[in-house]
Amino acid sequence: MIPRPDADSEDRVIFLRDAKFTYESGVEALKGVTLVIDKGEYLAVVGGNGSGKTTLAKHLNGLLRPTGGQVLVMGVQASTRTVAELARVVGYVFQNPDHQLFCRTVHDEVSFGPANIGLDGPEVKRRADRAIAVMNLSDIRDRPPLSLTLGLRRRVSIASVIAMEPQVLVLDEPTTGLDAREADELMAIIRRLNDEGTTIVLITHEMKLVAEHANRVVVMMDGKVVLDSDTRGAFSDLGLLRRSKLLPPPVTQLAHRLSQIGVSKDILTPQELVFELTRGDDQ
Amino acid sequence: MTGFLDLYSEKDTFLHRLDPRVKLLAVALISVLAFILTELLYLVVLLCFILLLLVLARSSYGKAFFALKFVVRFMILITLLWPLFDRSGAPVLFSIGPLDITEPAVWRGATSAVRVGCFATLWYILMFTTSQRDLVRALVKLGLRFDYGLALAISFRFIPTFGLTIESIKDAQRARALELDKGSILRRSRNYVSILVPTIVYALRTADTLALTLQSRAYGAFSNRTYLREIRMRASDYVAMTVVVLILLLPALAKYIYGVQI
Amino acid sequence: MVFRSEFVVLMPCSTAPQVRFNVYPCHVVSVGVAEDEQRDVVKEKPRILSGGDSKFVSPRTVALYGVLTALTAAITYMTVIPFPPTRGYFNLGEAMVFFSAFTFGWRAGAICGGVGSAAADLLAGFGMFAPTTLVAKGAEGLVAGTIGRMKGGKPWAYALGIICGGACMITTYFLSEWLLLDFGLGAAIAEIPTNIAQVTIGGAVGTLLSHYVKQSMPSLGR
Repeated sequence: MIPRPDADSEDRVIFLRDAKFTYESGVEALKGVTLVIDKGEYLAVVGGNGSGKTTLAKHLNGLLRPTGGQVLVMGVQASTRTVAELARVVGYVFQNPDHQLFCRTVHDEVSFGPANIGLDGPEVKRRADRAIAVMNLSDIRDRPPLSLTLGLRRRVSIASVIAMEPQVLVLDEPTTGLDAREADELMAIIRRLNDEGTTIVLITHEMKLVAEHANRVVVMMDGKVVLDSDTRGAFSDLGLLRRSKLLPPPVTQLAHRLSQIGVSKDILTPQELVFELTRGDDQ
Repeated sequence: MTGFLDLYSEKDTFLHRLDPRVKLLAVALISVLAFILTELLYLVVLLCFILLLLVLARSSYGKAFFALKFVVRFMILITLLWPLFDRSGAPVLFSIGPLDITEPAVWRGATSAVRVGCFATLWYILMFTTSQRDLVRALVKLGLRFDYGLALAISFRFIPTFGLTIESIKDAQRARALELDKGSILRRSRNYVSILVPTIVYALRTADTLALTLQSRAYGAFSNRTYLREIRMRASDYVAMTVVVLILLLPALAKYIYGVQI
Repeated sequence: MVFRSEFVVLMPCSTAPQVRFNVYPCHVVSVGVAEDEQRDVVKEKPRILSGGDSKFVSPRTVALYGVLTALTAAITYMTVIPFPPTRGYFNLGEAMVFFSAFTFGWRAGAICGGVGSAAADLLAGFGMFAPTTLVAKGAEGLVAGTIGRMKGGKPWAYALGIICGGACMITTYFLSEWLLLDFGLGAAIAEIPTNIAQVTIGGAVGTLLSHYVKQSMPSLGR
């Protein structure tokens, strides 16, 4: 069933109805995707390489326009708005931070977006300062962003997007190339943003991140949404994940192997498995 | 994007098999021929011959159309612009304000347009039938130093990569509300700085990695290096070369020794 | 120590504990980095050993020239701002010629400017212009690089470099189109305003780029 666009629903930030997209080369990247994203959600879009997840994400801020179907952002047809207008509502952080950074200092870099959307000086400064504080970059605000480590460059690129104070933040593979600690720090910051009310759309094929952070999972395969459920539900069907070229976190795989001794299959974290196993002992 | 990033298409015609050095020579000599011909009729014959070669190159319709569109647009432009600056001769066909358009000028314009058509089409045939690799090999064989040849090969290899990088960076900056197609040409160029800086930094990092790669693969370890694929002139290449030389030589002889008006 | 036929994995110490047990039996070397050591990526350039007594230019130069040439061609090709007369396109390729010349000197300017722009002509199907472009843009890069870096790159030197380099380029195109390619005076003149606009804007953007990039990568520019 295709849900109807509901203008008076204030919670609905993004609505895709049967969105189709074909590249000029003739590759059909989206074959009719219907998706509703509500305010404050922490949504993970997962899928193998070439499943269409990045193409989908690029529709959310108008970088790509659907060749069929509709994309509504805050109840407005995205195709009637420029990318610059949509950027105020939907922030998109690219996978490679080096594709965004060019300024002399971190502060200049973070101010670029707010200045582009036509805010006045004090407001630009306020937003930039806030974004720098949120991403823990205050110590290095006057350093040239290109000379920082990858983890810090990634944080600068996220700061430069959230400085526009978008309601939705799209993150494309934010942890690629980061070591475990950098990744944990980054994900904690994103968690905090979500707690403060920003809707997060995480594009990834790293299922461990999904298990630990997202509260809803959309699995894409071959330009279609094959599964849309809460996180726990997404991990109960290993066959589907495998067909989508995804690998569940080891702890979930272990839980599936242990299911014959009564462990439930929807284990997402080691803590849950420990709880499940020790509870088993009590019985 | 204005066209095809790689005009070359893999086919098996005699033009594709020809030694790239012979093809370069042919482009040069036939261009000289077009330059020394002054009669419209002979130039049209030459253009027809070149168009025949274009057909024999069996390029796809899309590419041939792309090439012809450019050539024809160019020829029309030259035909139209020529008489405006060449007002010699009589009779005057018509006048636009102070400008007199004379008949000989129109003919001269048409002649020049056909000549330019020859030049342009020749290069298209070369690019349709010669891979970039072969072009580099030919230049190295013709005396380009190996290291500069390698730099050239590297650059051909990276043009499409950087093209994609630029596209992606463009998107990344547009997501930060950068508007590229707004404002004066000066404003737009200024906006491009935010795209060009990340592109250049990315490219220079690539160069660093590449330098290490070259070294780890023993670049420059031996000065008398060998090549896996050598291009060699075969009998058919010599025949083609002779034909090309004759194509230039015969009309040139006729014109400069025997004074034939061509 | 590494033994024969060993599978060695180098990883940062924070990731090492999570190494996946089911990959291959391997020897994990955990490389520690001091707690809050800020690594300055750009300063840490890969050290290239000299090419020995080889007669070739250094691999660093080959890579740099190759990449700059590709960049010039790609930018010429991709940043087309539609503009009608003759060659039918206004682009920012000029900015790359000036950038290479001002940042890396006249040799880079001449080679990357000339070859890169000629390659763009070849690929875009303006092959007929390639020989002219090679000379015109090569001369432009050479002249701009020589003059622009005089006295350590003062603003007037840049400006003079842009003017002289641009003049070389425009003159070469004009003469070639008028006399060699035989477009007629009309078409050859029609090209001049576009070229002037291109040099002005390209020169300004190129100088800006050189400035920005030198600042964000301080190790450049020798």
